[in-house]
Amino acid sequence: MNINFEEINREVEKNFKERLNFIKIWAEYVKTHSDEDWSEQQNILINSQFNQ
Amino acid sequence: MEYNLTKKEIRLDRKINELDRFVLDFCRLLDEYVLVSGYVSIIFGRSRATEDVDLLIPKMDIEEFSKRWEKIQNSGFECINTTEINEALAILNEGSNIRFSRKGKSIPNMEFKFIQNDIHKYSFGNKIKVIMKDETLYISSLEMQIAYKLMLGKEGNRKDLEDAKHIYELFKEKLNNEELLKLIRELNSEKEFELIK
Repeated sequence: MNINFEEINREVEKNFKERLNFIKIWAEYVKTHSDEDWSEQQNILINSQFNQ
Repeated sequence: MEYNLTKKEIRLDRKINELDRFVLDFCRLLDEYVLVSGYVSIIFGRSRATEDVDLLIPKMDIEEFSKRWEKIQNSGFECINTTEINEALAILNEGSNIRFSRKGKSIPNMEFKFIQNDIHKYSFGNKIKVIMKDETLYISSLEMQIAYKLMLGKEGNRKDLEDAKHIYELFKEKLNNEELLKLIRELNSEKEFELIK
């Protein structure tokens, strides 16, 4: 198997930066919307972990 | 969400999820504690789940620990590590943690640890009260939480850096920046802070 680790590392770094960018956007959403609004979205993710 | 800096109090009007319910039910059984690490990000909206919640409590002797142990066992929780109270206390006294879950379940669980180092002491001594509806929780100082998560991120754990960023972005206008920078320096996490700010 011919694996280009440099390319994979670049992808990983790029993905991490994108994730940080999403966290910034989501934190802004949390700041500018009601607790009820953002928590309803977050709860879908969290409750799904316990309802399997 | 309202952060009252003077009172060291945050009022949250969030909808309670199953993880919150677990944490609230467990913490109600304790007198003194502080919640640290991932749950501190999650309670404020971080978009991830977790299987465990980290909690620190002051050291206690066997008599006091027995009362707590009984109360926990009689409230629908059980210790995953051991059923023997002496063994549980020995694990805690050697600096390790024990885990409690609802009876018959493993997830989520409460990672329960004695306060033992300066980071723990700071988190406990500077804890913040979080009021959700009519219930209360105590969490670590946000400045310490950010610095600590950045320090864990040094090991390449990106989840921790992301947790730090979520809290930083959410509270950056309210944080004590001088204190934050001091803690970041003490925990040698300046490079990680550059990544997330």
